[in-house]
Amino acid sequence: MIEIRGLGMQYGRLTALSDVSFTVPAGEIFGFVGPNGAGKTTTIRILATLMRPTAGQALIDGIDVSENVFEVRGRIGYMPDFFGVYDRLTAAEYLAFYASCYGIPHRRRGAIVSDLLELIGLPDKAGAQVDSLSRGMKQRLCLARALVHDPKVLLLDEPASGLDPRARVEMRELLKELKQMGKTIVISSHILPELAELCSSFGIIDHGHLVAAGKLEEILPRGAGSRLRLSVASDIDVAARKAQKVIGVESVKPVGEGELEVAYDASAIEPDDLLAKLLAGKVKITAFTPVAENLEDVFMRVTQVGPPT
Amino acid sequence: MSEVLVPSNEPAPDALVRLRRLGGAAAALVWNPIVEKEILSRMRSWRAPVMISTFIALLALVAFGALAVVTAQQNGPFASTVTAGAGLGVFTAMVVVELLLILFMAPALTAGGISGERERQTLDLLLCTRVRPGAIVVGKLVSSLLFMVLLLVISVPLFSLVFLFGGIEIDQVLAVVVIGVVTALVIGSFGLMFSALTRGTISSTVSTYVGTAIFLLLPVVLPLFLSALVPPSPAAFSGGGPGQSIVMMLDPFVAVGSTMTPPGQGAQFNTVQRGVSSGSVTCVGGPGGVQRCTSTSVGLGTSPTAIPGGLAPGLGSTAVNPAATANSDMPFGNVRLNGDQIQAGPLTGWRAWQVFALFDCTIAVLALTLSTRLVGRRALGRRRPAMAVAPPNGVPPAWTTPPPGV
Repeated sequence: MIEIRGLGMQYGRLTALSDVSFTVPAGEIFGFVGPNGAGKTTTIRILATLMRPTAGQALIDGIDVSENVFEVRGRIGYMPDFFGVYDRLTAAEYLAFYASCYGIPHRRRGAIVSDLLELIGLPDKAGAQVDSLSRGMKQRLCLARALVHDPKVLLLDEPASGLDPRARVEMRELLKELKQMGKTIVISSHILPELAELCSSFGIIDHGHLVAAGKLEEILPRGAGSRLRLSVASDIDVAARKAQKVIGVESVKPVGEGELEVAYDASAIEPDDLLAKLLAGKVKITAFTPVAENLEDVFMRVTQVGPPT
Repeated sequence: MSEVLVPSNEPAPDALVRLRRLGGAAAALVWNPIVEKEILSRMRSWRAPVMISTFIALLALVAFGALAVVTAQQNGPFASTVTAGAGLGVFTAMVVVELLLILFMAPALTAGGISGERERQTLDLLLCTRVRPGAIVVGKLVSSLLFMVLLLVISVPLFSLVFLFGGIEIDQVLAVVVIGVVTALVIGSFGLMFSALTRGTISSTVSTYVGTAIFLLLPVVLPLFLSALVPPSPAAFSGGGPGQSIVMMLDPFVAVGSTMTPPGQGAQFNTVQRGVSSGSVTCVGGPGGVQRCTSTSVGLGTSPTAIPGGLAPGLGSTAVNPAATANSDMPFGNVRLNGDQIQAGPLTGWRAWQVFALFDCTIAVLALTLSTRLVGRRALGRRRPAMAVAPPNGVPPAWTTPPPGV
C-alpha cells in the first residue's frame, strides 16, 4: 500500500533524509520511531504530499505522491503533530468543513460527522466549540478530521504526544479500532511501548537514515534485552538463585518488594518455558509481566544515544 | 554513433490539462467550502458587529454633517430652494468617507487570511485536502468581499437621503458602487498577497496598510511631481477637459472625483466645445421650480490652484484655471477628460470608473495569482519546514550535531 524507495530530502546543505526505503502492506500499522529531528516528520510530510522529496520516490496505492498529488490526497488522512483547529466553530461544523473540502456532498456530511463523533467517543460534543474541548478531545477530533473522506491510508505524526495516560489509552483503542476497519496506518511516535503493542512492523530512523525496518522480531537482535518481571510469593533469594540456574537466563535482579526482573536470551528460551521451569522449582509466582522496553532498548542502541549509565 | 541517454523532459501541459485547470478555477468560485466557513466564523466573532456598527455610525455622522453644512449654505435653514449641487456634495462626501472606511477595513479583513491559517497551523491541513491553493485564496477573498458588500448594502438607506435632493444620475451611483467594490477587491487582494508573503498576521497587516497608502498616493503624487519638474508644453493641449495622467486612474479617489465631475465641466473653460451630454448635473431643477446652475459641486477642501495642472478632475474641479489646464501634460500617458469621459487616446470614450475598474482588477488578479503561487509552493515546497530547523522542545535536530558515541 505504501512503498518508499530511496527517499532523500535535502535542505540546502542539511540532509534530512537519505536513502530511506520501506514498504507497508495494506492493513498494517507501521511504527515510525526516531529521535527528534531524525526525519520522521519529513517522511510523513512527503507522504502527505506537502513536500517534494529531492531524491527517490514514494508511492501510495501505486500512485507517486509528488506526481499525482490530488489522487493521493483523496486516499490519505494526515494528522500532524499539532492540533490545527479553528476557533468559533463547533466540533460538528469543523468536521463538516473538512468533509466539504474533500468534496463530499452536503447531504452525506451529516451522517459522516455523527458517525465520526461516535467513533471518537464525542457524540455529545457535536455542538461544543472546538476551543472548549480538552487536549485529548481535540486530538481525537483531529484524528476524526483525517477520517472524513474514509481514506485507505492514515499518516499520524505523534498522535499521542502531550496526552495524559487516560487520553493515550483512548487514542490507542481508537487506533486499534481503525486497524480493524482495515486502514493502513503509519504512526510516528517516541512512546515506544505503545507502538510495540500496536504496530505490526517498525522503522527506526536516525539522522535521516533508516537504521532498521521490519517486524519487531526481525529488528530485535535475538536474545538481547528480553526481560520478564515476576512477583514472587515465596522466598525471594531462593527464587533468584533458581532463576539464575535456568539455561538462557542472563541476569536476575530484585527490583522491589517481592519482585524480580529476569533478563533472558529469547533465542535460547521462550518466556513460557522459563516460567514453567521456575514453577517446577517450587517458586511461587503470583504475577508476571514482560517488560515492554524491548523496543526502547533497541532504539537506544541503534540510535547510538545509549541509556545513561 | 554513440548512444546517449537523454533524460526525457517533463511533458508540457496539454490543452486538456489546461482546460481542466480552467474548470478548476471556475469551480473554485462556485463550490468553495472556505467561503462558508469564513463567513460562519466571521459573523460569530465580536468584530463583525463592531465593524458594522462603526461603519454605519461614521457614515451616518458624515451624511448628517454634510447635510447640515449644505442646508446651512443654502439660503438659511428653512430655504425652499436647495440646489442640485447640494445633493451631489453630500453624496460625494459620503462616497469618499465610505471609500476611506473600505480602505481601512479591507486590510483588516484579509491581511490575516493566509498567515492566520499558518499561525493556527491549519494551512497544511487544508492543503492536504482536495481544495486547491487557488480556491483557498479565492475563498478568503470572496468571503471578505461579501462582508464588504454587506456594509455597502447596509449603507443604502443612508444614501437614500441624498436622493431627496436629486441631482445625481443613476449611472453615477452605479459607477460609485463599482468603484467601491473594485477598491475592496484590490485592497483585499493586497491583504491576501502580503498575508501569503509574510510570516505573521501583524506584519502582514502593517504591510498591507503601508502598501495601500503607497497605492493611493503614488499614482497621483508621482505624475504631479514629475509634471512639476517638466516645463509645460502648450502644444500638447488638444482640447477636451483638464489633463491628467492615466496612471492617476488607478486611484479610487480620482475615479470618484471624475465620476462626480459633471460632463460639461471641461467645456465650460475650453473653447473646444465637446458635446455636452444630456442630464448635465449642474443644471437640474431644484425644489420650488428654481433652477440653479452651480459649479460649486464638490468642495472637499482640495485646492486645485495649489497643485500644478491636473488633480482638478479629482475632487472639486471648480476653480480650475483654464491656463493651467491647457498647459498641463502629465507623464505616463496624458489623458483629457470631459466630465469622466476620456477624450483622446486608445481609451477614448471610456469612463473614469471603467478605466479604474480595468486597471485595478488587473492588479488584483496579479496579486491573487502571486498569492496562489505562494500558497501552492507551501504545499509542495522545497522550503525548509520550521519543524526540522527547530523542534518545538528546542532540542536541535539530531543531524546537526554529531551523535554522541556509546
